[in-house]
Amino acid sequence: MTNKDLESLNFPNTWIKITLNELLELIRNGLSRKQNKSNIGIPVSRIETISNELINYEKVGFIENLTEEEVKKYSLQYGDILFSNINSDSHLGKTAIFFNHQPLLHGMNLLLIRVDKNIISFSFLNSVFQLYRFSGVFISIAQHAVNQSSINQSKLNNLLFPLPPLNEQHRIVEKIEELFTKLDASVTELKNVKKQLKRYRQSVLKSAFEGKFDSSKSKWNIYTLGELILESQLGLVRSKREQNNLHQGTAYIKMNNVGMDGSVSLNNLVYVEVSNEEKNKYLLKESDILFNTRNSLELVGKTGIITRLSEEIIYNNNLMRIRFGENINPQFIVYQMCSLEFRANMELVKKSTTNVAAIYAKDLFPLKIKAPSIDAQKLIVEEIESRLSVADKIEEEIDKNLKRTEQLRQSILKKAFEGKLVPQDPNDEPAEKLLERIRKERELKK
Amino acid sequence: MTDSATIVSKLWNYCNVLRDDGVSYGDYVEQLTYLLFLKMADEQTKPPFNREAIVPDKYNWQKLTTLDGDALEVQYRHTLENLAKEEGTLGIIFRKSQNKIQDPAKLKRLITLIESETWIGLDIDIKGEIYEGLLQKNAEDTKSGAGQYFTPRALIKAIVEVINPKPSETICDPASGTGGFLLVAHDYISHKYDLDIDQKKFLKSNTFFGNDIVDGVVRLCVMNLYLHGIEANISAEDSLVSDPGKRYNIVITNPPFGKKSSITVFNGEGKAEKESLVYERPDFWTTTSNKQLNFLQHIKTILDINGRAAVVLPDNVLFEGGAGEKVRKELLKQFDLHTILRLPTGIFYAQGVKANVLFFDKKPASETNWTKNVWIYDLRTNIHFTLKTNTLKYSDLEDFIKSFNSANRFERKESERFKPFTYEDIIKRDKTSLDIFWLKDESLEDTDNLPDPDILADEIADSLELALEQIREIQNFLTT
Repeated sequence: MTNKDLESLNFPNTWIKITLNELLELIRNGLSRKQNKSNIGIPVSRIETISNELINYEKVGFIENLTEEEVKKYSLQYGDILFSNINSDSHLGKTAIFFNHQPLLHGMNLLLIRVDKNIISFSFLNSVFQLYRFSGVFISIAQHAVNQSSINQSKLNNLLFPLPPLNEQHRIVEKIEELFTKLDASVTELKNVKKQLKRYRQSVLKSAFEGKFDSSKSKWNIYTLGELILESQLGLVRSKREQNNLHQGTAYIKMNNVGMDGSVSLNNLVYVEVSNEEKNKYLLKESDILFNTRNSLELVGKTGIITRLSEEIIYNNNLMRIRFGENINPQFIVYQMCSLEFRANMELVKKSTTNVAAIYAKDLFPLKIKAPSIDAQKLIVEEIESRLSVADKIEEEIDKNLKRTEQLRQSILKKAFEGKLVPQDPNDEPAEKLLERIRKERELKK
Repeated sequence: MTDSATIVSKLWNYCNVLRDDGVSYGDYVEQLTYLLFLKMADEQTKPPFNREAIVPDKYNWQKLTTLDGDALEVQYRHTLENLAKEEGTLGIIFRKSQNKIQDPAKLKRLITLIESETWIGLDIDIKGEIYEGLLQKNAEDTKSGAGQYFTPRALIKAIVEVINPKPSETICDPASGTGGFLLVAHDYISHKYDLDIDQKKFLKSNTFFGNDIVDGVVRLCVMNLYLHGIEANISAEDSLVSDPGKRYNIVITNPPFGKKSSITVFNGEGKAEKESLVYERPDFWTTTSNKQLNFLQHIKTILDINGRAAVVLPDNVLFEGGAGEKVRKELLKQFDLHTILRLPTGIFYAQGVKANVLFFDKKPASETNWTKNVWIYDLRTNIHFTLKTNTLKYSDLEDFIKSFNSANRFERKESERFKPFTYEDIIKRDKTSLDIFWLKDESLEDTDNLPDPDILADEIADSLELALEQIREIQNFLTT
């Protein structure tokens, strides 16, 4: 949306379009004095003080030795809007309303916008700011530098705003807040579900390896991982310079392709040139396990299984390929290696320096693996998969719908500022009349 | 036979026979209500009671027992139609009544089943228990939606315990359902106090008041109370329409949850239209289509000065912006909102409901805020209930009852699950939200005790249900 689009917006006839400067009592930059972060002096706003449309009192600066006059002049008042006019494109135009929970001075790098309360509700204006921000109005009027953009104060002053009758503004704001808190609650729950799903996956694995899904009642034996391994081998070294993403050579799996959940992603593969001999040595086939031997302390030890191959693929030297004998279902082992219990044991054998951690084969192989008969292993894997696939599907849906909730938010705002969210009341004083009255009063005061 | 459970199961088994004919649980309980009432009215006319018949001879129980086949069906139909026109309890019980058992042979069997028992001779407690048993069964039938009227008995008992009703106090439930709150309060007062004759009379006839918007439910409620020996004043109307004028010492209630923020009305062309229910009432703080907020505002009106209220309300009343914020601010200021009990999930028949009990007292007008501290009891975090296997029991609420300290609630002790929050702190929260938690949720944190998959799956379902519920409400508003 640009200013042109705003000019052509259709409103109910009790509304008018008006430039921002007509709605304000005050718009200005903040106090530009040296700030400290060591709680000395009086708290003052900074760019990062605005987060999630609220004022975060933990992220304020402090200024010492101010005169009483300065404190008085720059103290924020109830209903003041702080506007981020210098920021990266994605944060440009962020706002927060000051509700006077704790005293705060207006610092530099944020604009203070104080509305004329006789004409416009500060909450209403703030909601319009939100819509403008998300629909790109602010970016369209900003000046862009390398890392940040800025909005010139006079351009902002000349931006068009919808102005409904004052009573209607309050009704709109109230309805928006009601709908948005429901939306927020929904988003919180959806995010909660994502966390719960993580726990659910772990819990499924735990139950599986406690034997709870084993209906065959076959005997479980304890092995060392090493005993079960038929063959293991670290991958091929190719430096970053030798890798391309132009499909030249052979596909090359790296550690970031291995997930935390036992999967191996074949997206974003890179390619390397290899000899025939190398290719034969490092070629992957289905059911191969890849174990991540070197990574950050947190990520090292990720294990994934190749479930399908789209082309010939080889693998990187931070990964170890593991193959098992006939009596072992590799997927069963991968799930076990992803369980909290196995991870806890792996934790004890991690070797780390400041930058990188490693797990060596000689430390990994003695770790314990529990397994029933091959038939039971297969059934347990099926039980796990039926549960995890449902969890995956739910997570996918949640991610999609989290994006949709953002869209919904914007579309509610848009509807609101077209006058379609709440009904008009013929008894309300039309915005034009109100403005005329206020202008006259202003004249008289002069 | 005096074992109430046996009678319940006998009556209930027969219901399964009727189910094959398309008679729902709800319909069945309703038909039982009519027949039981006729039977007991009949018993009252005989020795040793020898009372004057309240049911006209033409439509009494005797007539039904003598007939068969189509003649029985016709007689029963006429009985229902005509008794609906009577005044008083009779009229309330039979209002808009219809025969739902189309097969006369099956109707006959049910009549014979009831005939074989002497109901009036049964102890009041047992009769009430039988009927309550049937209502509970009906509530468990979630498909019929009957569950929304049912609050777990353990919870009701705990609420009544801390509200501590006394003889000669009036008690109202403006969303009475089948009368659970009123019954428990009746039990509480009659067991705790040694009542004199006047007090007994007051308890029986002048203590209990109720309302429900659904005709059928009012019928069940009146019958339920009647079988417990209570003459309650229950009316079948929408509580929210206007200020009834009467004020009560105690209001205890569980208003219906969500989903029905709009009703379907039919316009002149027979097309269904959705209409938002908005109540314009001068005594309300704000106009909203949110049903729970409207109930809360209604309760603040009908409560007498120094009256006490306990209301079961869903979470969104605690966090919702707009009208919700306005209502919370006024409640904190004009009332003493002293306690919030955060209920666990899995205790209501409606899925995924996250609810609370708000306890507040009405106070005379004042310049300053009446609420000083809101004590919140968290019975939700890391607590798991289900309707079938792990149900909420009274013992689960004992710590809350103790912590509430109704004998002297100004001498409460803080504990892991029970904390006070000052008015000043709450007022500063975004949207004056009362949705406050402080305990770590073990199902989300990496602790040694990872819950079983089924518990986590329950919680995920609850969260999704709740997310869905919020979106539905938004959808509901946007499409009307």
